[in-house]
Amino acid sequence: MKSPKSFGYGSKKKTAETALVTVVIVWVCMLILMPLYGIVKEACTSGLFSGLISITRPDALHSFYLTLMLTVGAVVVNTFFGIVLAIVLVRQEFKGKLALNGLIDLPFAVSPIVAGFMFITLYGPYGWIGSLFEAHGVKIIYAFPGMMIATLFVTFPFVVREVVPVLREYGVEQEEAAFVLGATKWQTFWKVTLPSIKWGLVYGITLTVARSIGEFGAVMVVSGAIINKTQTATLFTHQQFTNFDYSGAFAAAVVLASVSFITLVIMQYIQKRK
Amino acid sequence: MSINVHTISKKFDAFLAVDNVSFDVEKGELVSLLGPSGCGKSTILRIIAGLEQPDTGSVFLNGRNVNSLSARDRRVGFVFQHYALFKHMTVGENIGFALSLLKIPKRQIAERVAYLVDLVKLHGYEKHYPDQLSGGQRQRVALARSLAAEPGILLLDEPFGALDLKVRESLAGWLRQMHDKLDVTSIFVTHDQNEAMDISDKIIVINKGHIEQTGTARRVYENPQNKFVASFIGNINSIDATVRKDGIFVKGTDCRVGDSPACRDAKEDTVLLVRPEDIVINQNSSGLSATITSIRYKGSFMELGLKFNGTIVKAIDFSKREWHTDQKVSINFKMFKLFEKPGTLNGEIYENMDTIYN
Amino acid sequence: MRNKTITSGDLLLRTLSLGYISLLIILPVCALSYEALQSGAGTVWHQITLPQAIASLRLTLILAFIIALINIITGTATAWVLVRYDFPLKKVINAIIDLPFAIPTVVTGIMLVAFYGPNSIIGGFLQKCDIEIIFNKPGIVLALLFVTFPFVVRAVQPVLIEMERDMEEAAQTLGATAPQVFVRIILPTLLPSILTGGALSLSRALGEFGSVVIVAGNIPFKTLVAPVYIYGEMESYNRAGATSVSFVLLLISFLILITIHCLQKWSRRHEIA
Repeated sequence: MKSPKSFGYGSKKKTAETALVTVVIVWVCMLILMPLYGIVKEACTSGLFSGLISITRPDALHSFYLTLMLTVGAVVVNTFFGIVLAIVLVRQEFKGKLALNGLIDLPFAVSPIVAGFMFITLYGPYGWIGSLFEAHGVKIIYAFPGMMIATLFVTFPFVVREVVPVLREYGVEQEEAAFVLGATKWQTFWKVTLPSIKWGLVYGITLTVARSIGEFGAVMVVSGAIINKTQTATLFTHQQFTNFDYSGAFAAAVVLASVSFITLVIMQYIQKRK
Repeated sequence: MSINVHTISKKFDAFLAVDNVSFDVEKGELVSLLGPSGCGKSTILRIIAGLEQPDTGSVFLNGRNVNSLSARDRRVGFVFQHYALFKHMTVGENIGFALSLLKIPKRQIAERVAYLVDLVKLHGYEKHYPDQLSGGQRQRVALARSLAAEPGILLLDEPFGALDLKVRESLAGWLRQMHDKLDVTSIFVTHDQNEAMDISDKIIVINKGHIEQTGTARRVYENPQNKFVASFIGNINSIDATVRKDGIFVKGTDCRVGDSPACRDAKEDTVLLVRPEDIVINQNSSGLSATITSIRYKGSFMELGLKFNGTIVKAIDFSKREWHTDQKVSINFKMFKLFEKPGTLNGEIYENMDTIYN
Repeated sequence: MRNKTITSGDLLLRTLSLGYISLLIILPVCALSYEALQSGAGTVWHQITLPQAIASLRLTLILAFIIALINIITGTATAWVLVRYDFPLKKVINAIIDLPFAIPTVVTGIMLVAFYGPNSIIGGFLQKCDIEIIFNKPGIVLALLFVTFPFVVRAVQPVLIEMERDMEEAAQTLGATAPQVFVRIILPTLLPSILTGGALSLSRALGEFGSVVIVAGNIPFKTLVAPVYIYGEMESYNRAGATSVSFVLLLISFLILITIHCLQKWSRRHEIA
């Protein structure tokens, strides 16, 4: 019944409030909206046409395709392992669980460059694991597998972190009720657990998609950015920019920004449903 | 301090929470605002405290109109239903909070805190944090905290609502003792009529934002002014009746339950309200006939459901006799209240006619 | 916690989890640490004390702390305004705050160049006033502010929403003024989440690459941040340099992670179940 109010009476409170609100709105707009406007303006003025040509070139299209493949891979693999990890974290007890929990956040704390470099060290031709594959002629680094691993790393925490609280809140009792009513573990998972974590899962997947589309540093390090082979959309955009093909860079950036916007809208929609 | 509430009303959007309420509390009284959930009693309390502003009307503390004073300046003690203790402060810091806001030397604050801690019997817990205490202990801290700055009035909003039954009962008694010791005017909001009857000097019964009746526990229980009060406080059976010149009859039958009320004309539409403990049950046939439909053993008494002239009434029997269902018995109403149903109303509020003793 | 017997299904899940985390996180960290330390702590020290390296580390750390501080203030104010007040376009503003999470960092860099670069209105105007944003430190600050903005806001918001108002009302009835309530009741409750958001902000700012590499110009000793330095060393095949500085950044990341976890624990210390 209580509406959100500021407390205390008097018009002094009201003006202080309005001032604070204004400052915040201005800050948010200046920081975030203005540059967005800038890019759309640039893309339109500095040659929309030539920009479109740039991004419909084969190498550009291939880069978008590569981003798409990496995203799909990240979603599939991290959704699977994300759910597995969430179940292990919430429903199981064992030594070292705390450490496991902490490690999950590492991708958030580590610089993408450092991450990429870690993978070169481990999966590169002289690395512990990389050398094993190299012996059979399989390249991980400077090839798609390496980029996939890098993308998996940076998007790893999202699904886990979104599903864990939902799973925890959901409680074990509903699953126990299902057991008592005769359901197998698998049936319980599909019919009881999964539907309950649905929205958390979808939100985590959306964040995964946004992040993998936007991943730059780690993938750059790990891929060697070989044109038409290991160049993602973000890498392509960067290359156009450093090659002074501004209209191409802006056009690509606009495409990526639009996709981000759509993702953002979807995120907001799901937030409401959670 | 005395409290006068004068014609206050409060709307939340389209919902009228408080409807033209006025009452007085004398200095030193412990008064309860009793009513079902959502009846507006908490809102009235918050208006007195200054946490809400009334749309109309005024609140007077010690004769002074405090409408323009914020909660901060009214010097009231307020105890919240869920204690609202400061989780990041110790018991001692919580209790001393009001004093720490003023420029009082630390030693003085410590003395006062020590006194209050002793008063609420939490000696030894000063350095504990709220999450280390039980519900009853937290409530005592909340009370001590509100008393620290020596407020003129004490307002308690369902203070025992979140506690177990036994803890509630002992804390209610303890609150009364505190009140008598400190002699501070107090208003206490509750939906539990037992609590209200147990410790209040005066009960104000509230329903749907307005006052139904004011009086001592005894008066309100034995002399309810209308059907709401009669059925909210204690249990009551309700039987439609007709008043004729030769007596009071169950409506639509020739079953006579008592003498006509004195100086009253015949009335078609009346209702008879009788408390379960006022229904006397006999195994012989010397009264009105009824059949036992249910028996519930309650420990110190039995609660019997009786089919009587087409309705089910509940009666209480302390005799410890053996009853069984479908047994035919005879009953007598020791005492009942007769209410007239106003023709135009929806039948909810009845006007008091008479109290009949048999 | 109920005691359950471990089923084979449980073990399978556990093995899968540990296996995945090993391949993705544990082993890479070990590999990098091993390589860095293999050549001895002396080599590491030598590499990170090279003039360019240390300049980049210093720049990165100082900037990151400044950013975290700015975000703590602006983020808390924003969260406060969003939770406590009603105003037009509130929902829109709330949604916009997530934009930095959704946008690729490269695009951020390009946006900033588009808006503040020498060819834009604002950039041209600033150039006349002799203020250079792009390819200079202010540009880096702007980029970092953009990408780290949501952290404090989103850390503080849920705590603010959950906070029981009756604690504030209790403080009022006990005689506290609005500033007193804020400082003594609200702020202590919010502090862990503010600091957590600040720590997240810090770690992101330390590691940011995509937007900075475009906006900063990467001038050594002036606008070269640590991640860009590492990349440069890699490109010029100075493996030892890249490894050492990476290792240092990795250590800092771990430190921040541990701090965040301690903060989380601290915030729950007086939680009433």
